[in-house]
Amino acid sequence: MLATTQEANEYRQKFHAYYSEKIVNDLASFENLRKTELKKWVGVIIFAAFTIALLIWLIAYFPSQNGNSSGKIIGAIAVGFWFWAHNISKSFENKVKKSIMHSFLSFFGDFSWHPSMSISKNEIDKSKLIGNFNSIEPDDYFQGTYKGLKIYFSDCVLSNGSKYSNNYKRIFDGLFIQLEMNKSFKAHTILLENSHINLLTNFSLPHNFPDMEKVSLEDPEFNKMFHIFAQDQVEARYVLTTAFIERFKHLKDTFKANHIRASFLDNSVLIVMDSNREWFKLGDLRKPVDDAGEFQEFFEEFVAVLSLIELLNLTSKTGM
Amino acid sequence: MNPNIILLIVLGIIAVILYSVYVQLIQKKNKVGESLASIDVQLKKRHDLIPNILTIANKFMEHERSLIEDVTRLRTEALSMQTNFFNMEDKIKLEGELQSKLGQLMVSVENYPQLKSNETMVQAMQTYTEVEEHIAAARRFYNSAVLELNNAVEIFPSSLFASSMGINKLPFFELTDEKEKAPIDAKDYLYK
Repeated sequence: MLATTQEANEYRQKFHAYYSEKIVNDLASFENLRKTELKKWVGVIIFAAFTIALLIWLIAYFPSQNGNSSGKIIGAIAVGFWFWAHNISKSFENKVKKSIMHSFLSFFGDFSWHPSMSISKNEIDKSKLIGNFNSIEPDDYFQGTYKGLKIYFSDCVLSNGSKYSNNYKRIFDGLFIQLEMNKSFKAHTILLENSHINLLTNFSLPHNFPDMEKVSLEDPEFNKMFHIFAQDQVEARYVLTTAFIERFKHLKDTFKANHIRASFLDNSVLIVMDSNREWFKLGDLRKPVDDAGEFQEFFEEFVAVLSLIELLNLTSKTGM
Repeated sequence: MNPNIILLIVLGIIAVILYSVYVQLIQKKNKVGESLASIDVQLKKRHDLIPNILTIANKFMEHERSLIEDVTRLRTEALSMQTNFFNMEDKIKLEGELQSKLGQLMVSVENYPQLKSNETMVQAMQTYTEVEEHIAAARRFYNSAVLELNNAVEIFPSSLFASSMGINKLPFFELTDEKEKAPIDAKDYLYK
């Protein structure tokens, strides 16, 4: 699809025409709703600011013996208001997405969108790419087939502890991309970025992977960038061909990801990118619904994920 | 402190260092052994596939008799040759020749449209590509293990142990056919 810049530009133009013809009309009906919801949202923000200012004034004029608990109460109220405002904007975003996602995805082929689904905990645990976590906050989940290969991707946040408690800890915020590979393999191989170990994932190597061996490939630069562990040294090299590792080195920059890791298991690869930002955002309350910029960004993100299949040449049997 | 105790401590430290060097050398040697076994497993897949390919090729490829005979002969020789540390050079050479002849046979298939479209042949060719990919992966594993062992055999102090234990440098598993190493000229393929 995007093998050359010219091809990419042609594809963008096609999307622009498709957007003007099929999507803009569906969006028009949401403009009034957006204005109403925006008023609500602004109202909540003003009410929050007023309430918090009033509380601070009260505390300043009538200081209690327990200053700490007053601070906590204000904090809790601020968080409550934040969730209220966030829910208003999120609910509008979901309405817009529900309405236009089908026609949007039709442009790319056989794809479906599930707003409250995500990659399963079982899949994540099986990949061994993330340390301990007990909660998944799903945002968007897409699945479909591109160039004959199945692809699943999900933007989500993984955390430990209850969201409203002090022990809440965000473990991961980013994108999971699972791609079918045109190769048959069973043994598990994982790539972990060197700089990433022990920071977010609670990894301590190598006892996290007792059934795996460290793999050292012939590319010193790649060995410096990634720790590679595998159950089978030969299968690790079967999936990580020299051409593949050369392409994989550039993924981090292409996606502007903070960290990147991958797991190869059962004929598919799971690529995990920490980005600390929300992917596939549409329906921003503060922008007119027919604002093409937002759609353009969504389009670019979607295409970037699909382009992984070409970038890593996953359709090829040999991976060359 | 008693000089004897100091001497004992120093000797103890030296013994631990020497022992760890010895252990690492054995580990590296065993890793090469493991990689050799992996290569054997993958080469066996190639050897098992050849009769199927030859059975189909025999029916269609009248003009490639000598090539088919070469492949048969090389396969028989390869099957009878054990894989161990001492005959790796011969093994690599023989498998290189077999791979080269098989490659030529696969290219020749292009000249027989009936054979090219034969479903069994198409499947055999796909399996062949996959098997060769696995062999390439096993070869990379072997080369990586051999590189570590060869370094240990050459570098002091493990070189002392290596020579006393009869561990020698091993050859890398590289493409032996000069034709395969030579740069490819696209014209040879495009304007035939």
